[in-house]
Amino acid sequence: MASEDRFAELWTDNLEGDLDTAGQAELQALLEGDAALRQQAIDLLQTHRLLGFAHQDRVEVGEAFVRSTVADLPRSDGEFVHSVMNYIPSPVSARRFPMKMLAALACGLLVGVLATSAAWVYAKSRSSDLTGLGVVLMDEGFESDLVPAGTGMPTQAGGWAGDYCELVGEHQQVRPASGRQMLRFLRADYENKPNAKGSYVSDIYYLFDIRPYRAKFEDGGGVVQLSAGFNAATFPEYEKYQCSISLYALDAEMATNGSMRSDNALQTDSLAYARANRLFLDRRPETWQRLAGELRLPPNSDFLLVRIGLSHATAAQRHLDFPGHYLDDVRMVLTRRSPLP
Amino acid sequence: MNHHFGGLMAENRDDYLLAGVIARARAGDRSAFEAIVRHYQRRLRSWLAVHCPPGGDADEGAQRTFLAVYSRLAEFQDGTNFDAWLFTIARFQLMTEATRLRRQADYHARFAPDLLARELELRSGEPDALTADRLRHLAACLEQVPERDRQVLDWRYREQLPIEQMALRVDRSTAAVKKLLWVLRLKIRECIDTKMAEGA
Repeated sequence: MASEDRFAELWTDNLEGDLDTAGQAELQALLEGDAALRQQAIDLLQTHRLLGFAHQDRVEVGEAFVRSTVADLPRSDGEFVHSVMNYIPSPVSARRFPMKMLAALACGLLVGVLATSAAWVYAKSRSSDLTGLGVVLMDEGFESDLVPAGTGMPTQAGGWAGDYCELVGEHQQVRPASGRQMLRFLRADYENKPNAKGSYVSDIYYLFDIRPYRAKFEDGGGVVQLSAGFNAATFPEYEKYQCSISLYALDAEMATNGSMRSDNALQTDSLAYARANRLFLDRRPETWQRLAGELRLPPNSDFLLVRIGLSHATAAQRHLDFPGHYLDDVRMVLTRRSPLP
Repeated sequence: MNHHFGGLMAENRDDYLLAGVIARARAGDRSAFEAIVRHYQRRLRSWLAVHCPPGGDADEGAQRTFLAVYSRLAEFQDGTNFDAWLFTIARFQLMTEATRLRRQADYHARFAPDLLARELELRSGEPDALTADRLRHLAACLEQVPERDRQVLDWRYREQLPIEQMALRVDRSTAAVKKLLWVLRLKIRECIDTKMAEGA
Protein backbone atom coordinates (compact mmCIF):
# COMPACT_ATOMS: atom_id res chain seq x y z
CA MET A 1 0.00 0.00 0.00
CA ALA A 2 1.33 3.45 -0.91
CA SER A 3 2.42 5.50 2.07
CA GLU A 4 -0.14 8.20 1.21
CA ASP A 5 -2.96 5.70 1.40
CA ARG A 6 -1.58 4.31 4.62
CA PHE A 7 -1.30 7.81 6.04
CA ALA A 8 -4.94 8.45 5.10
CA GLU A 9 -5.98 5.38 7.06
CA LEU A 10 -3.83 6.14 10.07
CA TRP A 11 -4.73 9.80 10.27
CA THR A 12 -8.43 9.12 9.95
CA ASP A 13 -8.19 6.48 12.66
CA ASN A 14 -6.39 9.03 14.81
CA LEU A 15 -9.10 11.64 14.34
CA GLU A 16 -11.75 9.05 15.12
CA GLY A 17 -9.95 7.84 18.25
CA ASP A 18 -9.43 4.38 16.76
CA LEU A 19 -5.64 4.36 16.50
CA ASP A 20 -3.98 1.53 18.43
CA THR A 21 -0.45 1.57 19.85
CA ALA A 22 1.13 0.02 16.76
CA GLY A 23 -0.71 2.50 14.58
CA GLN A 24 0.50 5.38 16.72
CA ALA A 25 4.11 4.30 16.29
CA GLU A 26 3.66 3.87 12.55
CA LEU A 27 2.04 7.27 12.21
CA GLN A 28 4.70 8.91 14.32
CA ALA A 29 7.40 7.47 12.05
CA LEU A 30 5.62 8.71 8.94
CA LEU A 31 5.20 12.21 10.34
CA GLU A 32 8.72 12.52 11.64
CA GLY A 33 10.19 11.76 8.25
CA ASP A 34 8.00 13.95 6.07
CA ALA A 35 7.44 17.67 6.64
CA ALA A 36 4.82 17.86 3.88
CA LEU A 37 2.85 15.10 5.55
CA ARG A 38 2.99 16.98 8.84
CA GLN A 39 1.55 20.03 7.14
CA GLN A 40 -1.22 17.95 5.61
CA ALA A 41 -1.93 16.39 8.99
CA ILE A 42 -2.27 19.81 10.57
CA ASP A 43 -4.41 21.05 7.68
CA LEU A 44 -6.79 18.16 8.18
CA LEU A 45 -6.75 18.42 11.96
CA GLN A 46 -7.74 22.07 11.72
CA THR A 47 -10.42 21.29 9.14
CA HIS A 48 -11.74 18.55 11.42
CA ARG A 49 -11.91 20.95 14.35
CA LEU A 50 -13.49 23.66 12.23
CA LEU A 51 -16.15 21.17 11.13
CA GLY A 52 -16.73 20.24 14.76
CA PHE A 53 -17.08 23.85 15.78
CA ALA A 54 -19.36 24.74 12.86
CA HIS A 55 -21.71 21.83 13.50
CA GLN A 56 -22.07 22.76 17.18
CA ASP A 57 -22.18 26.50 16.55
CA ARG A 58 -25.56 27.25 18.08
CA VAL A 59 -26.86 30.23 19.97
CA GLU A 60 -27.54 28.18 23.09
CA VAL A 61 -24.00 26.80 23.15
CA GLY A 62 -22.55 30.30 22.94
CA GLU A 63 -24.94 31.51 25.59
CA ALA A 64 -23.99 28.64 27.91
CA PHE A 65 -20.37 29.65 27.46
CA VAL A 66 -21.16 33.26 28.35
CA ARG A 67 -23.06 32.28 31.48
CA SER A 68 -20.36 29.88 32.56
CA THR A 69 -17.61 32.43 32.00
CA VAL A 70 -19.39 35.24 33.79
CA ALA A 71 -20.15 32.94 36.71
CA ASP A 72 -16.40 32.36 36.98
CA LEU A 73 -15.51 36.02 37.29
CA PRO A 74 -13.93 36.79 40.63
CA ARG A 75 -16.21 38.82 42.82
CA SER A 76 -13.49 40.51 44.76
CA ASP A 77 -9.75 41.03 44.65
CA GLY A 78 -9.32 38.45 47.37
CA GLU A 79 -11.23 35.82 45.43
CA PHE A 80 -9.24 36.58 42.29
CA VAL A 81 -5.89 36.17 44.05
CA HIS A 82 -7.15 32.93 45.55
CA SER A 83 -8.24 31.53 42.19
CA VAL A 84 -4.99 32.43 40.46
CA MET A 85 -2.70 31.28 43.24
CA ASN A 86 -4.46 27.99 43.78
CA TYR A 87 -5.83 27.23 40.32
CA ILE A 88 -7.85 24.28 41.52
CA PRO A 89 -11.54 23.60 41.13
CA SER A 90 -13.44 25.55 43.71
CA PRO A 91 -16.97 26.83 44.13
CA VAL A 92 -15.93 29.87 42.12
CA SER A 93 -14.86 27.80 39.15
CA ALA A 94 -17.53 25.13 39.41
CA ARG A 95 -19.43 26.32 36.38
CA ARG A 96 -16.43 25.67 34.22
CA PHE A 97 -17.18 21.98 34.13
CA PRO A 98 -19.78 22.05 31.37
CA MET A 99 -17.19 23.74 29.21
CA LYS A 100 -15.34 20.45 29.04
CA MET A 101 -18.24 19.12 27.12
CA LEU A 102 -18.57 22.15 24.89
CA ALA A 103 -14.88 22.06 24.10
CA ALA A 104 -15.05 18.42 23.23
CA LEU A 105 -17.97 19.06 20.96
CA ALA A 106 -16.13 21.91 19.33
CA CYS A 107 -13.26 19.59 18.56
CA GLY A 108 -15.61 16.92 17.28
CA LEU A 109 -14.63 14.68 20.13
CA LEU A 110 -16.50 13.38 23.10
CA VAL A 111 -13.83 11.00 24.28
CA GLY A 112 -13.06 11.44 27.94
CA VAL A 113 -16.25 13.30 28.73
CA LEU A 114 -18.79 10.57 28.42
CA ALA A 115 -17.75 6.99 28.86
CA THR A 116 -19.31 4.38 26.63
CA SER A 117 -20.42 1.10 28.03
CA ALA A 118 -17.31 -0.56 26.63
CA ALA A 119 -15.06 1.76 28.62
CA TRP A 120 -17.14 1.60 31.74
CA VAL A 121 -15.52 0.37 34.91
CA TYR A 122 -18.03 -0.04 37.67
CA ALA A 123 -17.34 -0.43 41.34
CA LYS A 124 -17.86 -4.10 41.99
CA SER A 125 -19.38 -3.89 45.43
CA ARG A 126 -23.10 -3.31 45.23
CA SER A 127 -23.88 -4.17 48.77
CA SER A 128 -21.70 -1.89 50.85
CA ASP A 129 -22.53 1.73 51.36
CA LEU A 130 -18.96 2.80 51.39
CA THR A 131 -16.11 0.94 49.76
CA GLY A 132 -12.62 1.84 48.75
CA LEU A 133 -13.96 2.25 45.24
CA GLY A 134 -16.68 4.70 46.08
CA VAL A 135 -20.07 5.30 47.61
CA VAL A 136 -22.92 3.40 46.01
CA LEU A 137 -25.60 6.06 45.64
CA MET A 138 -28.11 3.95 43.77
CA ASP A 139 -28.63 0.32 42.87
CA GLU A 140 -32.10 0.31 41.39
CA GLY A 141 -33.71 -2.88 40.19
CA PHE A 142 -37.32 -1.60 40.40
CA GLU A 143 -38.19 -4.41 42.76
CA SER A 144 -40.51 -2.40 45.01
CA ASP A 145 -44.15 -1.89 44.14
CA LEU A 146 -43.75 1.87 44.10
CA VAL A 147 -44.67 2.86 40.55
CA PRO A 148 -42.87 6.01 39.38
CA ALA A 149 -45.19 9.01 39.42
CA GLY A 150 -46.35 10.18 36.00
CA THR A 151 -46.05 13.78 37.06
CA GLY A 152 -43.02 14.99 35.16
CA MET A 153 -39.72 16.07 36.61
CA PRO A 154 -39.66 15.85 40.41
CA THR A 155 -38.88 18.79 42.65
CA GLN A 156 -38.50 16.70 45.79
CA ALA A 157 -35.63 14.33 46.39
CA GLY A 158 -36.20 10.59 46.47
CA GLY A 159 -38.37 8.46 44.22
CA TRP A 160 -38.68 8.17 40.48
CA ALA A 161 -41.01 10.41 38.50
CA GLY A 162 -41.41 11.53 34.94
CA ASP A 163 -43.40 10.37 31.96
CA TYR A 164 -45.94 7.56 32.18
CA CYS A 165 -44.38 4.18 32.83
CA GLU A 166 -45.12 1.00 34.75
CA LEU A 167 -43.33 -1.78 36.59
CA VAL A 168 -43.67 -5.22 35.08
CA GLY A 169 -42.28 -8.72 35.35
CA GLU A 170 -41.26 -10.72 32.29
CA HIS A 171 -43.14 -9.16 29.42
CA GLN A 172 -43.12 -9.48 25.63
CA GLN A 173 -40.34 -12.07 25.88
CA VAL A 174 -38.16 -9.61 27.78
CA ARG A 175 -36.93 -10.80 31.16
CA PRO A 176 -35.76 -8.38 33.85
CA ALA A 177 -31.98 -7.93 33.84
CA SER A 178 -32.08 -8.93 37.50
CA GLY A 179 -34.74 -9.64 40.10
CA ARG A 180 -38.44 -9.94 39.34
CA GLN A 181 -39.31 -6.58 37.86
CA MET A 182 -38.20 -3.89 35.46
CA LEU A 183 -39.52 -0.51 34.38
CA ARG A 184 -41.48 -0.27 31.16
CA PHE A 185 -41.57 3.03 29.28
CA LEU A 186 -45.15 3.70 28.19
CA ARG A 187 -45.51 7.21 26.87
CA ALA A 188 -43.66 10.43 26.10
CA ASP A 189 -45.91 12.57 28.24
CA TYR A 190 -47.08 12.92 31.81
CA GLU A 191 -50.13 14.17 33.64
CA ASN A 192 -51.12 17.62 32.42
CA LYS A 193 -47.97 17.99 30.37
CA PRO A 194 -48.18 21.23 28.42
CA ASN A 195 -47.87 20.84 24.64
CA ALA A 196 -47.72 17.08 24.97
CA LYS A 197 -48.72 16.57 21.37
CA GLY A 198 -45.60 15.91 19.35
CA SER A 199 -43.60 14.54 22.28
CA TYR A 200 -41.52 11.54 21.31
CA VAL A 201 -39.04 11.17 24.18
CA SER A 202 -40.00 9.30 27.33
CA ASP A 203 -37.99 10.51 30.32
CA ILE A 204 -37.79 9.20 33.84
CA TYR A 205 -36.05 11.20 36.59
CA TYR A 206 -34.65 10.78 40.06
CA LEU A 207 -33.67 13.76 42.18
CA PHE A 208 -30.90 12.86 44.59
CA ASP A 209 -29.82 14.94 47.60
CA ILE A 210 -26.04 14.84 47.43
CA ARG A 211 -25.38 17.17 50.35
CA PRO A 212 -24.77 14.40 52.92
CA TYR A 213 -21.79 13.33 50.79
CA ARG A 214 -20.27 16.78 50.40
CA ALA A 215 -17.07 15.79 52.19
CA LYS A 216 -16.43 13.40 49.31
CA PHE A 217 -16.45 16.05 46.60
CA GLU A 218 -15.92 19.46 48.14
CA ASP A 219 -12.33 19.58 46.87
CA GLY A 220 -13.45 19.04 43.27
CA GLY A 221 -12.31 15.41 43.19
CA GLY A 222 -15.73 13.76 43.27
CA VAL A 223 -17.00 11.97 40.17
CA VAL A 224 -20.46 10.43 39.83
CA GLN A 225 -20.74 7.45 37.52
CA LEU A 226 -24.09 6.31 36.23
CA SER A 227 -25.07 3.29 34.17
CA ALA A 228 -28.38 1.77 33.14
CA GLY A 229 -29.61 -1.28 31.25
CA PHE A 230 -32.02 -1.01 28.32
CA ASN A 231 -33.93 -3.61 26.34
CA ALA A 232 -36.83 -3.86 23.91
CA ALA A 233 -39.24 -6.35 22.51
CA THR A 234 -38.70 -7.04 18.83
CA PHE A 235 -39.63 -4.09 16.66
CA PRO A 236 -39.77 -3.49 12.90
CA GLU A 237 -36.61 -2.95 10.86
CA TYR A 238 -37.63 0.55 9.87
CA GLU A 239 -37.92 1.75 13.46
CA LYS A 240 -35.05 2.97 15.63
CA TYR A 241 -34.94 3.77 19.30
CA GLN A 242 -32.23 5.74 21.03
CA CYS A 243 -31.42 5.69 24.75
CA SER A 244 -29.89 8.45 26.81
CA ILE A 245 -28.72 9.05 30.32
CA SER A 246 -27.94 12.46 31.79
CA LEU A 247 -26.64 13.81 35.06
CA TYR A 248 -27.21 17.38 36.19
CA ALA A 249 -25.57 18.94 39.23
CA LEU A 250 -27.90 21.51 40.75
CA ASP A 251 -27.91 23.97 43.58
CA ALA A 252 -30.74 23.68 46.09
CA GLU A 253 -32.72 26.59 44.75
CA MET A 254 -32.84 25.34 41.20
CA ALA A 255 -33.56 21.78 42.26
CA THR A 256 -36.66 22.70 44.18
CA ASN A 257 -38.16 25.81 42.58
CA GLY A 258 -39.36 24.07 39.43
CA SER A 259 -37.30 26.20 37.04
CA MET A 260 -35.40 23.14 35.84
CA ARG A 261 -38.49 21.82 34.16
CA SER A 262 -37.29 23.66 31.09
CA ASP A 263 -34.67 21.83 29.02
CA ASN A 264 -32.88 25.07 28.33
CA ALA A 265 -32.75 25.92 32.02
CA LEU A 266 -31.27 22.53 32.83
CA GLN A 267 -28.49 23.00 30.34
CA THR A 268 -27.74 26.61 31.05
CA ASP A 269 -28.41 26.92 34.76
CA SER A 270 -27.23 23.59 36.12
CA LEU A 271 -23.82 23.76 37.77
CA ALA A 272 -22.59 21.03 35.42
CA TYR A 273 -24.10 18.32 33.29
CA ALA A 274 -23.14 15.29 31.24
CA ARG A 275 -25.09 13.22 28.78
CA ALA A 276 -24.53 9.97 26.93
CA ASN A 277 -26.85 9.00 24.12
CA ARG A 278 -24.95 6.83 21.72
CA LEU A 279 -26.97 3.71 22.35
CA PHE A 280 -29.46 2.45 19.79
CA LEU A 281 -31.54 -0.54 20.81
CA ASP A 282 -31.00 -3.80 19.00
CA ARG A 283 -33.81 -6.24 18.22
CA ARG A 284 -32.76 -8.96 20.61
CA PRO A 285 -35.02 -9.20 23.66
CA GLU A 286 -32.68 -11.72 25.21
CA THR A 287 -29.85 -9.22 25.70
CA TRP A 288 -29.63 -6.07 27.76
CA GLN A 289 -27.59 -3.14 26.50
CA ARG A 290 -25.87 -0.79 28.93
CA LEU A 291 -25.22 2.90 28.66
CA ALA A 292 -22.90 4.73 31.02
CA GLY A 293 -21.56 8.18 31.70
CA GLU A 294 -19.97 10.25 34.38
CA LEU A 295 -19.94 13.76 35.79
CA ARG A 296 -17.30 15.49 37.86
CA LEU A 297 -19.22 17.14 40.67
CA PRO A 298 -18.77 20.86 41.21
CA PRO A 299 -18.00 21.41 44.90
CA ASN A 300 -21.11 23.51 45.44
CA SER A 301 -23.54 20.85 44.18
CA ASP A 302 -26.55 20.25 46.39
CA PHE A 303 -28.60 17.86 44.27
CA LEU A 304 -28.08 15.48 41.39
CA LEU A 305 -30.79 15.01 38.82
CA VAL A 306 -30.68 11.66 37.05
CA ARG A 307 -32.48 11.61 33.75
CA ILE A 308 -32.96 8.47 31.69
CA GLY A 309 -34.65 8.74 28.35
CA LEU A 310 -35.83 6.75 25.39
CA SER A 311 -36.74 8.33 22.09
CA HIS A 312 -38.14 7.51 18.70
CA ALA A 313 -34.98 8.05 16.68
CA THR A 314 -36.44 8.75 13.27
CA ALA A 315 -38.82 11.54 12.42
CA ALA A 316 -41.19 9.22 10.58
CA GLN A 317 -41.99 7.06 13.60
CA ARG A 318 -42.32 9.79 16.21
CA HIS A 319 -45.37 9.41 18.42
CA LEU A 320 -46.32 9.38 22.08
CA ASP A 321 -46.38 5.66 22.73
CA PHE A 322 -43.65 3.09 23.25
CA PRO A 323 -44.74 -0.44 22.46
CA GLY A 324 -42.22 -2.51 24.44
CA HIS A 325 -39.19 -0.78 25.92
CA TYR A 326 -37.59 -1.46 29.27
CA LEU A 327 -35.13 -0.15 31.85
CA ASP A 328 -33.43 -2.09 34.64
CA ASP A 329 -30.34 -2.14 36.85
CA VAL A 330 -29.67 1.56 37.25
CA ARG A 331 -26.48 2.06 39.20
CA MET A 332 -24.84 5.20 40.44
CA VAL A 333 -21.57 5.54 42.34
CA LEU A 334 -19.75 8.49 43.81
CA THR A 335 -16.08 7.87 43.35
CA ARG A 336 -12.86 9.84 43.63
CA ARG A 337 -10.42 11.15 41.07
CA SER A 338 -7.57 13.61 41.36
CA PRO A 339 -8.81 17.19 41.40
CA LEU A 340 -8.27 18.92 38.06
CA PRO A 341 -4.88 20.62 37.69
CA MET B 1 -21.23 40.24 13.31
CA ASN B 2 -23.05 40.24 16.63
CA HIS B 3 -23.57 43.42 18.56
CA HIS B 4 -24.52 43.13 22.17
CA PHE B 5 -22.68 45.88 23.91
CA GLY B 6 -24.58 47.08 26.91
CA GLY B 7 -27.71 45.59 25.46
CA LEU B 8 -27.59 48.14 22.69
CA MET B 9 -27.79 47.23 19.04
CA ALA B 10 -25.88 48.84 16.23
CA GLU B 11 -25.61 48.28 12.52
CA ASN B 12 -21.84 48.30 12.61
CA ARG B 13 -19.39 47.83 15.38
CA ASP B 14 -18.90 51.06 17.12
CA ASP B 15 -15.54 51.72 18.70
CA TYR B 16 -17.03 54.51 20.70
CA LEU B 17 -19.61 52.16 22.14
CA LEU B 18 -16.93 49.56 22.82
CA ALA B 19 -14.82 52.11 24.67
CA GLY B 20 -17.80 52.92 26.85
CA VAL B 21 -18.47 49.28 27.62
CA ILE B 22 -14.81 48.71 28.48
CA ALA B 23 -14.89 51.70 30.79
CA ARG B 24 -17.97 50.35 32.55
CA ALA B 25 -16.42 46.89 32.88
CA ARG B 26 -13.23 48.42 34.23
CA ALA B 27 -15.30 50.21 36.83
CA GLY B 28 -16.62 46.85 38.01
CA ASP B 29 -19.83 46.55 35.96
CA ARG B 30 -20.12 42.80 35.44
CA SER B 31 -22.96 43.15 32.97
CA ALA B 32 -20.69 45.27 30.78
CA PHE B 33 -18.05 42.58 30.85
CA GLU B 34 -20.71 39.99 30.05
CA ALA B 35 -21.48 42.02 26.94
CA ILE B 36 -17.82 41.86 25.97
CA VAL B 37 -17.75 38.08 26.47
CA ARG B 38 -20.94 37.67 24.47
CA HIS B 39 -19.55 39.76 21.65
CA TYR B 40 -16.18 38.01 21.34
CA GLN B 41 -16.91 34.45 22.45
CA ARG B 42 -17.66 32.91 19.08
CA ARG B 43 -14.64 34.44 17.43
CA LEU B 44 -12.32 33.47 20.26
CA ARG B 45 -13.69 29.96 20.72
CA SER B 46 -13.44 29.14 17.02
CA TRP B 47 -9.89 30.49 16.90
CA LEU B 48 -8.88 28.41 19.91
CA ALA B 49 -10.67 25.33 18.58
CA VAL B 50 -8.48 25.50 15.50
CA HIS B 51 -5.22 26.28 17.27
CA CYS B 52 -5.30 24.51 20.64
CA PRO B 53 -2.62 21.81 21.02
CA PRO B 54 -3.56 18.12 21.04
CA GLY B 55 -4.91 17.34 24.48
CA GLY B 56 -5.80 20.98 25.04
CA ASP B 57 -9.25 22.27 25.76
CA ALA B 58 -10.40 25.13 23.56
CA ASP B 59 -13.27 26.42 25.67
CA GLU B 60 -11.23 26.18 28.86
CA GLY B 61 -8.64 28.32 27.08
CA ALA B 62 -11.32 30.78 26.06
CA GLN B 63 -12.56 31.05 29.63
CA ARG B 64 -9.06 31.56 30.98
CA THR B 65 -8.52 34.24 28.36
CA PHE B 66 -11.64 36.14 29.40
CA LEU B 67 -10.70 35.82 33.06
CA ALA B 68 -7.26 37.23 32.28
CA VAL B 69 -8.81 40.04 30.25
CA TYR B 70 -11.13 40.84 33.14
CA SER B 71 -8.32 40.99 35.65
CA ARG B 72 -6.14 43.11 33.38
CA LEU B 73 -8.68 45.58 32.06
CA ALA B 74 -6.91 48.37 33.89
CA GLU B 75 -3.86 47.75 31.70
CA PHE B 76 -5.73 48.24 28.46
CA GLN B 77 -4.84 51.58 26.90
CA ASP B 78 -7.83 53.52 25.67
CA GLY B 79 -7.72 54.23 21.98
CA THR B 80 -5.67 51.15 21.13
CA ASN B 81 -6.97 48.03 19.40
CA PHE B 82 -8.99 45.98 21.90
CA ASP B 83 -9.31 43.02 19.51
CA ALA B 84 -5.55 42.77 19.12
CA TRP B 85 -5.06 43.09 22.86
CA LEU B 86 -7.56 40.32 23.59
CA PHE B 87 -6.03 37.94 21.06
CA THR B 88 -2.54 38.67 22.37
CA ILE B 89 -3.75 37.45 25.74
CA ALA B 90 -5.33 34.43 24.04
CA ARG B 91 -2.03 33.56 22.34
CA PHE B 92 -0.30 33.80 25.68
CA GLN B 93 -2.87 31.43 27.16
CA LEU B 94 -2.28 29.03 24.27
CA MET B 95 1.48 29.06 24.86
CA THR B 96 0.96 28.47 28.55
CA GLU B 97 -1.30 25.52 27.81
CA ALA B 98 1.19 24.05 25.31
CA THR B 99 3.96 24.37 27.89
CA ARG B 100 1.82 22.74 30.55
CA LEU B 101 1.07 19.81 28.26
CA ARG B 102 4.72 19.40 27.26
CA ARG B 103 5.65 19.13 30.91
CA GLN B 104 3.38 16.16 31.39
CA ALA B 105 5.57 13.14 31.93
CA ASP B 106 4.18 11.04 29.10
CA TYR B 107 3.41 13.76 26.58
CA HIS B 108 6.41 12.95 24.37
CA ALA B 109 5.78 9.24 24.62
CA ARG B 110 2.28 9.52 23.23
CA PHE B 111 1.38 9.98 19.60
CA ALA B 112 3.36 12.84 18.07
CA PRO B 113 1.60 15.51 20.10
CA ASP B 114 4.72 17.61 20.40
CA LEU B 115 5.33 17.70 16.64
CA LEU B 116 1.78 18.76 16.00
CA ALA B 117 1.63 21.20 18.90
CA ARG B 118 4.66 23.04 17.56
CA GLU B 119 3.13 23.29 14.11
CA LEU B 120 -0.10 24.58 15.57
CA GLU B 121 1.80 27.09 17.66
CA LEU B 122 3.44 28.47 14.52
CA ARG B 123 0.07 28.87 12.89
CA SER B 124 -1.36 30.66 15.89
CA GLY B 125 0.69 33.66 14.82
CA GLU B 126 -1.64 34.19 11.88
CA PRO B 127 -4.20 36.98 12.20
CA ASP B 128 -7.29 35.72 14.00
CA ALA B 129 -9.44 37.07 11.20
CA LEU B 130 -8.22 34.18 9.03
CA THR B 131 -10.08 31.71 11.24
CA ALA B 132 -13.25 33.75 10.91
CA ASP B 133 -12.77 33.77 7.14
CA ARG B 134 -12.23 30.01 7.09
CA LEU B 135 -15.37 29.48 9.14
CA ARG B 136 -17.32 31.63 6.71
CA HIS B 137 -15.89 29.82 3.69
CA LEU B 138 -16.57 26.48 5.34
CA ALA B 139 -20.28 27.25 5.31
CA ALA B 140 -20.12 27.97 1.57
CA CYS B 141 -18.03 24.86 0.93
CA LEU B 142 -20.48 22.67 2.81
CA GLU B 143 -23.22 23.83 0.48
CA GLN B 144 -21.23 22.36 -2.40
CA VAL B 145 -21.06 18.95 -0.74
CA PRO B 146 -23.67 16.53 -2.12
CA GLU B 147 -26.67 16.11 0.18
CA ARG B 148 -25.89 12.49 1.01
CA ASP B 149 -22.32 13.27 2.02
CA ARG B 150 -23.44 16.31 3.97
CA GLN B 151 -25.70 14.01 5.94
CA VAL B 152 -22.67 11.90 6.86
CA LEU B 153 -20.85 15.01 8.09
CA ASP B 154 -23.90 15.95 10.09
CA TRP B 155 -24.00 12.53 11.74
CA ARG B 156 -20.31 12.74 12.52
CA TYR B 157 -20.07 16.29 13.80
CA ARG B 158 -23.55 17.25 15.00
CA GLU B 159 -24.93 13.95 16.26
CA GLN B 160 -21.48 12.58 17.20
CA LEU B 161 -22.44 9.15 15.94
CA PRO B 162 -19.83 6.40 16.10
CA ILE B 163 -18.49 5.26 12.73
CA GLU B 164 -20.21 1.91 13.19
CA GLN B 165 -23.63 3.57 13.47
CA MET B 166 -22.95 5.70 10.43
CA ALA B 167 -21.90 2.62 8.48
CA LEU B 168 -25.18 0.94 9.39
CA ARG B 169 -27.17 3.94 8.28
CA VAL B 170 -25.55 4.08 4.86
CA ASP B 171 -25.21 0.31 4.56
CA ARG B 172 -21.46 0.47 3.96
CA SER B 173 -18.41 -0.85 5.77
CA THR B 174 -16.73 1.20 8.50
CA ALA B 175 -13.63 1.37 6.31
CA ALA B 176 -15.70 2.88 3.53
CA VAL B 177 -17.15 5.50 5.88
CA LYS B 178 -13.68 6.39 7.15
CA LYS B 179 -12.47 6.72 3.58
CA LEU B 180 -15.41 8.95 2.79
CA LEU B 181 -14.63 11.17 5.79
CA TRP B 182 -11.00 11.43 4.66
CA VAL B 183 -12.05 12.47 1.17
CA LEU B 184 -14.63 14.95 2.44
CA ARG B 185 -12.14 16.60 4.81
CA LEU B 186 -9.60 16.87 1.98
CA LYS B 187 -12.11 18.38 -0.42
CA ILE B 188 -13.43 20.82 2.16
CA ARG B 189 -9.92 21.91 3.04
CA GLU B 190 -9.11 22.45 -0.65
CA CYS B 191 -12.32 24.36 -1.15
CA ILE B 192 -11.57 26.64 1.81
CA ASP B 193 -8.01 27.23 0.61
CA THR B 194 -9.28 28.10 -2.87
CA LYS B 195 -11.74 30.61 -1.48
CA MET B 196 -9.09 32.08 0.80
CA ALA B 197 -6.78 32.51 -2.21
CA GLU B 198 -9.57 34.13 -4.24
CA GLY B 199 -10.27 36.48 -1.37
CA ALA B 200 -6.63 37.41 -1.07
